[in-house]
Amino acid sequence: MAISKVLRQLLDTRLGILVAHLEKSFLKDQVVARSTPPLAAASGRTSFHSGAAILLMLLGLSTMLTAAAQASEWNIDHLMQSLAHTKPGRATFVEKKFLTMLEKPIESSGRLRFIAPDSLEMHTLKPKNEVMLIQGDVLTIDHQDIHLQDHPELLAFIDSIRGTLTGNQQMLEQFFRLSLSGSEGNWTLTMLPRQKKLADLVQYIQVNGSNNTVTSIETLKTNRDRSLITITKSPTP
Amino acid sequence: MRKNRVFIIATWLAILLVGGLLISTTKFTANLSEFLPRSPTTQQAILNEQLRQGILSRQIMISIDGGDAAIRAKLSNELVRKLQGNTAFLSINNGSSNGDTRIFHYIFSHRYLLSPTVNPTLFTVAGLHNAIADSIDMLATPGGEMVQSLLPSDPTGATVQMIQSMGSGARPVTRDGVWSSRSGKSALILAQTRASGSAINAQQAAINDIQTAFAVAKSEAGSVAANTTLMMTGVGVISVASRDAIVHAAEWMSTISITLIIILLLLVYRSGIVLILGLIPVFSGVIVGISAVALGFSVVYDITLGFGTALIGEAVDYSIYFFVQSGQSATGSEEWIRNYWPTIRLGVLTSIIGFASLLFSNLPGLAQLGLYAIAGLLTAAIVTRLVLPTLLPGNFKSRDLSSIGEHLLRLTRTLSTLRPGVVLLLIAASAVLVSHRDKIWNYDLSALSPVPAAAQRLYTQMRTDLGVSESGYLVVVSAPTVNATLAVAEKTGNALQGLVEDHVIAGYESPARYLPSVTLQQERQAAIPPKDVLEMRLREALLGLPVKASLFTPFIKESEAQRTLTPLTLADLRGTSIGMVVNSMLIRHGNGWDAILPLKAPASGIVDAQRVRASLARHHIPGAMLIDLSGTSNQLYKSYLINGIKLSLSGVAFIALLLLFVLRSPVRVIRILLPLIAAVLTVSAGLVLLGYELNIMNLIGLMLIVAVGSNYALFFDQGDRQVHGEIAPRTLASLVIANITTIMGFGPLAFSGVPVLQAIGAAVAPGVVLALLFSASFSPHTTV
Repeated sequence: MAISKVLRQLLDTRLGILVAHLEKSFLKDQVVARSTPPLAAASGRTSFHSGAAILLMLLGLSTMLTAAAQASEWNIDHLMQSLAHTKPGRATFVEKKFLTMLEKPIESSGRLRFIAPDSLEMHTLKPKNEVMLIQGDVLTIDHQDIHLQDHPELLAFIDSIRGTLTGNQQMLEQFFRLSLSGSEGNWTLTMLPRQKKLADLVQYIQVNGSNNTVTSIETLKTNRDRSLITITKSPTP
Repeated sequence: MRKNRVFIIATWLAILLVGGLLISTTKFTANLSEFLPRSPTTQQAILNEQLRQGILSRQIMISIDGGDAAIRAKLSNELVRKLQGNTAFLSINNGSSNGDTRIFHYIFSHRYLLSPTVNPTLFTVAGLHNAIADSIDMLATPGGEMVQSLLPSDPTGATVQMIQSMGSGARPVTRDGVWSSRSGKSALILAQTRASGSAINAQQAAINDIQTAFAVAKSEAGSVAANTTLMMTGVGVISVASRDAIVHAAEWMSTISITLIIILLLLVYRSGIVLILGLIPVFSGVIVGISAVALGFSVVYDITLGFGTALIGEAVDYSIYFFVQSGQSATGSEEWIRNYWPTIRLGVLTSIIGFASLLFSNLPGLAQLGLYAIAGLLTAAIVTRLVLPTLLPGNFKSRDLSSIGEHLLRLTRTLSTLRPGVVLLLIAASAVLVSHRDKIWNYDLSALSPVPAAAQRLYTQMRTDLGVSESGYLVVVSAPTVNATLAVAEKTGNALQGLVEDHVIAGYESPARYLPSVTLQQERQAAIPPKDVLEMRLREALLGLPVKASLFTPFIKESEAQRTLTPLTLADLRGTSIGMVVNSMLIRHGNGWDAILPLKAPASGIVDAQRVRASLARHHIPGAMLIDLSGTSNQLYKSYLINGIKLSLSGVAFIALLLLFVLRSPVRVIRILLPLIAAVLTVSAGLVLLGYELNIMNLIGLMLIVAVGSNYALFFDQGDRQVHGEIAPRTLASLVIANITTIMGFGPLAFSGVPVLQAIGAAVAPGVVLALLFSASFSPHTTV
């Protein structure tokens, strides 16, 4: 082969991998852990958090647009069934983060768009413009792909959400202990992680809804950071 | 006479002994890049340097296939774990988190020296306020938690900015926690060897280590791993494979050749002693040839030995001429010296002039070949002339081949009718070559590559899988010291950044991005205020932000620490991955250093070289060069090939002059050279008609046709001196035998499967047959 090609390829590969590695290390927080031990928080957790939130939004967005459930008796089975019917739609969101390191909650807001069968676009407008996209197993932020396979615990979680979307309660219960409270018009589904990996990061996830519509998702992490996402259905165009 | 004989043998043995000693201390290298320049331009030197020594040549890309993703990931991790302590590797990486954490430490602990965001404005109250507000905004957006843990020690986002500035290069996909191919069917690992890619033995050892580690990991994993396989590629791997391919083929082919030649010579001589005596000139030639190369060059390339020995295979002919032509009488050798030596001497001279053109080649490999062939041939001829007669046993009798010669002579006479045919063939061949003039020579360097197409595909595939974009352009700048070079690279970076904004290029890399010049690092350090000042400004900056100053204690502490850090230098980075990256773009060159800045092509894939050059000129960057790699290496090779063709032609011209000087007859010179030129052109035309494009090794082959064929032509021509007015039967027999040995020597190469060897074999074997036939048809007897 031409030397030029070899050189070019080698140089490019070398650099590409360095960057990958840097980011990997960066995400792993290894040095942060070293320099500021008390605040160490593994990337798995952080990206887990947002990934989980997004998936839950996916869940909520799709379900709130579902036809009304024909439930004679309100229980998890019925909720699952009504959530299983998904259709594309649009909504707006407001996320409030209560981070322990900050004195006040911080807020972001923007638009949500569900694209069948498994894509969700989250377009943040405030405080800064940013597009986040989940397509299948790939999460893209600012043109940077995060492969969900890289984060087995996140993937497990997402698979369980997918289990929910497809009405697969068995799959869901593999990862969470589920409990439903409230009424059909104002229900709360509390999900407690079963596996240690998840439980180390997340204390609970609560999905609130009315009938087959998800209205908010609250996540409480073990480090006391809390996130509350409120979802409002957009008028159908 | 006897004293004289003792003197000759003693001198000969002494020379062999000195040669042997010299060879025993000679450094041999199995280097495939010898077809690269010796006294090149800067561009060429960079290319050459990169290929030979470059960190770039040290990569081994490893792929694990078969089994399922989980078992591949397990084997991948296991392989990395087993090789991590191995000193043969600078690094081994499969994308799993247990990789080299030194890089991140390096980046993070020097972030205020390295980050492009650091300037005096950043540390003002307003600068801090804006930067921290931005960081908090980032935290607020979805996914912002990724940087949450960095906030206390890096509230201004210096690290994130730095990582972003280091480019968003394509990355390999990760599956089950390890790098994977795009298809997801193989796990990928990248190893960096300590030895350069051209240190073939060390590369071989590294490859063996990987194979052993994989075999152990596989057996430990048990039956689930049963159908997993390991594949490797990279410059070193390919070099090893090529070396092996060439060595194996050369060994095989030379075994076949030698066996055939020995059988033939035994049939001819019917004497083991004569056979051994016959090999003495070649043997001596090989020793002196290698010694000469060892003296003339600091190292001897393995491949020179292989090809060179083939070239001086011509020397076998000398002893054949001696034994067959000197006949039976005891005084035969003296007669031979009187009647035949002058012709052989002239033949040796023409061959030497032919090979001398190689000496002037700017390819060290070819120059070595030339020196080897010249020294070897000269020695073989002298040994045949002086030593061989003294070694003959008193009762020596070689077989009389006159009767065979008579038969051959009758055949030869009929060949004369072919003379117009030869002329026609010459014209036809010329016509073919003229009409195919654009397709005669293959100027693509890959034509020489002994790498099978499959291996090239694997390389490309794995490179793609490891995530790579392509651009063939490099900017190269130089300065006397590392620091000055980095400073120029920084200046160049500013110019290139403008081009990125104008979408002339999509991006660029620079060693200064990973290792800024000491000057720039110190400027950044100077921008950091002392601890108390920073604390004061920070408190003020945090007004209106939802965060307490106490959170940023780590930031205050580290800013203070980094303010007084000794700036990083190349030496600090030794052995780290980041050091390797910097080293791959920073090359010692003569008395100075070169920085290499690869450009990323825009979406169109085309870099507007004019605009890049104009921008470099506008920014007054001294001596900045834009190199188009895709063009350069082939252009380089093309220039060597053209150079080689010119040298060969001048070689032929000098041969013609020599013959004219010695023979003083233009008619005879034409009669000698015409058949040779016809043979060369016919072989070339034949190869071209078969759809084969000639490369530089073919050129050597063609020169060998002239070198060997000139002996034939001279003997036919010297037939004038014989009483018969034509060539003597014994002489003719010796020519035919010599011709058959040459065919045996080179013919098998054509079937070796290795392009470089095939190129020589395919040119020489048919060429020498034609040279003999054509010379015969032009021999003088037919004109009588």
